Amino acid sequence: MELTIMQHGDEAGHSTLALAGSIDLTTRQSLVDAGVGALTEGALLTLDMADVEFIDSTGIGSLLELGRIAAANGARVEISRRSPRVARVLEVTGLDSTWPAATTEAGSFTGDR
Amino acid sequence: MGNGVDGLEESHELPTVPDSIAAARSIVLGLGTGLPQCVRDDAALLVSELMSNTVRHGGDTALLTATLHDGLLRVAVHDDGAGLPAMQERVPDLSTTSGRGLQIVDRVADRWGVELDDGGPGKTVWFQLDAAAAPHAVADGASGATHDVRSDVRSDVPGDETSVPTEEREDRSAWS
Repeated sequence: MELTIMQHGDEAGHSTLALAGSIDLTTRQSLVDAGVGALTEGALLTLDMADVEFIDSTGIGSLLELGRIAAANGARVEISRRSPRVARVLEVTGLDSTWPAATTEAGSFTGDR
Repeated sequence: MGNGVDGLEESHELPTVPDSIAAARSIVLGLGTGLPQCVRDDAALLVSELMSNTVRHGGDTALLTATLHDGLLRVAVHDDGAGLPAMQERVPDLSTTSGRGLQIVDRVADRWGVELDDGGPGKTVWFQLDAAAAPHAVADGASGATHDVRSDVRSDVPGDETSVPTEEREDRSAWS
């Protein structure tokens, strides 16, 4: 299963990536690359993960990497919709409180104290 | 085939390349067609973690063995690599983008462990999921709110079988 990434640059400074498929070791880099590209166009990147059928810890790592890159550039990443599998793995990793369904400030997952 | 089938077994030798991670998920999903969807999905998640670790740190090939007996799914991944999975004591820092694989295995699997090869550097990492013990087996699985199925908090073991958590700790003490 592959990962399909559709970009919508619907507003100035705000891009949305709609993700569908699997996020694992095979596809994580394409997500990071697409996210970095989208972040050059604005300070807010929204990930629509409603159609993500599979994600594992490697995929979670790519989300965190994107968040870290965004924070280093004064931008932030938010997750809008999420599939049950995404919700499940965020919950198991304890990231659901860090990364709630609502907008998450970049600083909250950069590890800054 | 269908519900309630006992004694299914699959054994596959897979190259330790990234594409084998999805292949391993497909094998486990195929074996568990009679299991609740949430158990199948969790099994796919766990085997993805095991195979990812093998692809990163294992030898050239991995042996995936999956058995399903009376609702108990056991999946094992053997490789010849010397690297052992390490369980971090603390939840990974949010700035850390890796290290969550075994955290997932530990929280989702009913039991899991590592067995070292005799006289060689290889090892087998395995996990079990018990469909009968999954508290979310009767739920729709969408909310993700009550998914903790660690055996040490499992409360629905019937009758007087109260010794299961002890075995679990023995499994881990060998290498944690």
